Amino acid sequence: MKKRALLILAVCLLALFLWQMLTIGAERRDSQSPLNKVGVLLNGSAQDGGFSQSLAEAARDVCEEKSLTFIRYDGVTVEAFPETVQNLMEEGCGLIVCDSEEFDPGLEQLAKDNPGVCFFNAMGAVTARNLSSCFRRTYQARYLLGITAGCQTVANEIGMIVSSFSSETIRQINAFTLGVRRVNENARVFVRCTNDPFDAETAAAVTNELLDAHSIDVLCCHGIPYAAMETANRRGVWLVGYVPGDEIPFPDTWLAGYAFDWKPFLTQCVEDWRANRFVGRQYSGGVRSGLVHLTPFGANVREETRDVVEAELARLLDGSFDVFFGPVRDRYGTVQVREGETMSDERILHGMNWFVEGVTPE
Amino acid sequence: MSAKLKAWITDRRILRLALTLALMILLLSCLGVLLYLRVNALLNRYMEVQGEKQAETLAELTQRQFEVELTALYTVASELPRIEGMRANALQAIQEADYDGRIGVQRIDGSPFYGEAYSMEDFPCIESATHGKNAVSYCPGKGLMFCVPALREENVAFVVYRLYPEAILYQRFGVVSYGGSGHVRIEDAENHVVVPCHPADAESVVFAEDAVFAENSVVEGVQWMERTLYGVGSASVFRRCSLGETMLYAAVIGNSDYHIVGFVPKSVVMEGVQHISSMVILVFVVLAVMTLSGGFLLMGLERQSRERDALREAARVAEKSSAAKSEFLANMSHDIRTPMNAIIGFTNLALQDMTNQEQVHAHLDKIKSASSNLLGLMNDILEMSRLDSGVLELNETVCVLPQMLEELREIMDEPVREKKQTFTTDCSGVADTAVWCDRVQLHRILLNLVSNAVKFTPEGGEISLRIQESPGESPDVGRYEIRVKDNGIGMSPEFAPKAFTLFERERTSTVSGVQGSGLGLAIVKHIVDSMNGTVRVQSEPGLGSEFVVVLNLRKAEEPERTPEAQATLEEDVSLEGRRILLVDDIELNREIVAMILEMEEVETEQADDGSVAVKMIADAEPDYYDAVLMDIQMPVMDGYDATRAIRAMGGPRGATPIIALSANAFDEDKKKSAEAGMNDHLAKPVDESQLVEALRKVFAAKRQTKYSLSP
Repeated sequence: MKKRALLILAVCLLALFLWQMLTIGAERRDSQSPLNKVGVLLNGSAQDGGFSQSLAEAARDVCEEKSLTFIRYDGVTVEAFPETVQNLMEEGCGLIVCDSEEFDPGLEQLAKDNPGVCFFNAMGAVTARNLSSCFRRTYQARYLLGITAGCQTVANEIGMIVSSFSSETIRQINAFTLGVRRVNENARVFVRCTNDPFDAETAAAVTNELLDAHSIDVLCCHGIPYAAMETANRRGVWLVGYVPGDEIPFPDTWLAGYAFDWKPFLTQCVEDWRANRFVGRQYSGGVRSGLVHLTPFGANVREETRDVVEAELARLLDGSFDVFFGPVRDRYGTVQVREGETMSDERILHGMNWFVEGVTPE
Repeated sequence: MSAKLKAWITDRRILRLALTLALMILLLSCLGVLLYLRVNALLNRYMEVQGEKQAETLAELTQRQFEVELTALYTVASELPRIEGMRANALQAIQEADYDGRIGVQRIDGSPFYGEAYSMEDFPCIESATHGKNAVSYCPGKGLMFCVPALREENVAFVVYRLYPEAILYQRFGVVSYGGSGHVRIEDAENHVVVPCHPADAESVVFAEDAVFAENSVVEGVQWMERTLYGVGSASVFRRCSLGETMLYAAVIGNSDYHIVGFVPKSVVMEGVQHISSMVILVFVVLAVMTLSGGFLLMGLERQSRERDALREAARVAEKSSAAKSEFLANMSHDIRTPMNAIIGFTNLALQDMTNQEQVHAHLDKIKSASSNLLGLMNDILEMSRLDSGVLELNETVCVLPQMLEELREIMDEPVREKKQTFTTDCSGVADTAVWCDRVQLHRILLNLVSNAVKFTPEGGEISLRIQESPGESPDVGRYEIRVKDNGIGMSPEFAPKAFTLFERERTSTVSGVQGSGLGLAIVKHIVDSMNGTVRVQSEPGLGSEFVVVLNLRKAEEPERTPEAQATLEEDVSLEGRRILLVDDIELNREIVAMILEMEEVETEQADDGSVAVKMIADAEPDYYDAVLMDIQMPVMDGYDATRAIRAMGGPRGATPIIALSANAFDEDKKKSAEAGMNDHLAKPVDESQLVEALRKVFAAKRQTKYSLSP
């Protein structure tokens, strides 16, 4: 009996020893997260009829195509950003997509702390080994819209309504005005702010106010509800702006629009991520890279206008010109960018707190 | 093969031990191999980790190099905007900075300012610089370009680059690892080689190192590494290629799209470490050797202990036997003294009063009876020593069972009559009455059983001896069942199984009163066992016992019996007037025989030694002596030699019948006598009737011969 017990003990010990021997040191560094969940964080709303929506929709499409799980959070503020990312990672997301340069500081830290997770900022300027950013150059499209508006206007009074005076919107206003002034030195751009990106009534009201105050014949909207454009349309004002998709929403008054094509970027991103070949890069997302493109012109756009726009587009495409190439003067006549120089991305992102010549903020 | 080794091999316990040992060695070997493989695997992993760290370090070095380049270039670039408008000065400043003719400056629209202008398609870093970011990019065929913006405040005035042509990339940025034994190259995200692992050489088209990078196993290894490379930053793995076991390693270069990938022969990395695995093998070999030695030692010890145990057992048996013998001798001592006392006592009584013939006769009768008992006792003691030696030789002759039974009846006639018992024999159940058997031994069996029965049955009892035959295993063998039944005192059931054990006698008062050595049954069993038969007893105290002996005996042909002729011959022969030579070195013995023979009206002459007897016969006339009674053990010349000498004489002298008279009466002795040429063999002390009969037989035979010889 005793002998048997000893034998069993010996066998157990032997088994334990063998198991230990076979498994010690067998771990390899492997901090890879699962490759089937994508998290999307939007600073704005997915139904803003604007950039965030296009990103969200493209992300959803790509995920569907590749049978990945897609989790989305809207309206994420800068303060809430790190926590929201943690939540996404806990839920098992291996790729995080977000859409604002304001997230950049948080992103840098997160990328460093989580080497197994990949990050893509649809509008940002920081990179790391596992963090890619795209510098979205919507302003290039806006510039072209400005050219369209400048050619089209007869009253030389153009209106622009934005939801707030953020760096993004100022950028848009400036680019737009630069385009207007390029073809029409006499035109002036009157800018109003609704201070509310969501409320339709406010948008409509501001639009009416603006149109009442001036004899504006072309209107550009940015980041505000559709109601503004509808109002303008009813009043017979020509419109330029952003529409999702390629259909012409207001056939009578529509001049030109732009749209995003996020799919190539996101597809590349997702594919790299899934093949374990995700390298953090800084993408330049302008017309050259195909992220932004003009939608078909409205019927009312004249042939000459189209030619001019095409010519400017060609200059943007071959890299010999960008919107903020000098000379650029601000509202007060100060030379902000000399001739032969251009604004660095840094300045474009954070250093544009002035309006170019021709802008009249109200 | 030596006896010792053979003993070892056949010992089952040793075999089992050897098996266990072999198993242990096998287990040790397996463990050793397992451990060796594991240690190897762990060592490999260790080296891979080292490789990863190496790669990381190298990548970091490269990163620093790039940063240094950019920083230096940036310093140059930052000078430019200050030299505002003074183009000539600006150019001069640049020229001074351009020590190796690789610097170029272009405007933001891509037009050249100093040196060549390059396109954004070839060098995306130009676009980055135009937007205000330092960047590096590689264009196959053109080289590696470092590009920085020349900033004035936050605006980009120029794009300044330094372009390293392909040819000098290795010199400038080549990565040296493992003191040159390692070969590392820098690749971009699309796996284009930015910086090769060897200097560009116009003469050589295919480089050995490049060939290695192109090998299947290496390619597969690099792919494997890339699976984890971008996640953790570095990777290392072993692969076998044309160079042998090779370690591949890779790491990403921070702040860029680039990574380094390289290989180094395992031997360089392993240096000295491989001894660890060899040590493992060594340790296990030592363990195995120790186990083996331990095992052999154990086997030897086992054997020793077994031997010791065997010895102990033998000692115990010997002791037991010795104890039993001592007990037996103690009993014997008593049994011997009893008849001796009678002989001494009655002899004294007889001598005291020789005149009362009747009383003297009675005393002498008692002396006779006692001495006969004593003789029987001594025979038994002799038998005991023979049984102890174990071996019983059987001399098979043709035995006629009814004849043997008759002989038995004759022998037992007196004791039975004395105790007023009835002794019946019955062999009617026997079909084949003649068998091949050792006559003497069979006789002994029957005699012992029957005399036992007589001894242990009180006056008036009945003893029966019945032999039955049944078919045996084969047609020429019969199964003979001998039953000896009595209605005597029987034996208790506890004693019954021990009955056949040497020296065992039931310790009851009735039994103690009976003369006996306790050997009878043991002798029976011994003989029966030697004949491959069985013997058993059924007994009940007070009712009697039945002994059953079963023997398988070969059937024989009945010899021709001529009882009448034999009887006639024997009856006719008389000893009157014969002259017999008595040969014995002891005078007393001669005297006794002489006196016996004188009663039969036989003349005797005496010789006290073999040589004397031979001389006497030689000197005498032929047929002077009718027979010789020859003792065996004599000095000078013993009985056998004397007989041979006499026989050698030939003629009538040589044909003189010689009968051996010897203290030794075992079968071997009888055989020897026969071989020496003697006609018969009698045991001392000589029985009167036996002697007379023997002589009669011998004379009868002689007469027959005489008759046959006469014309």
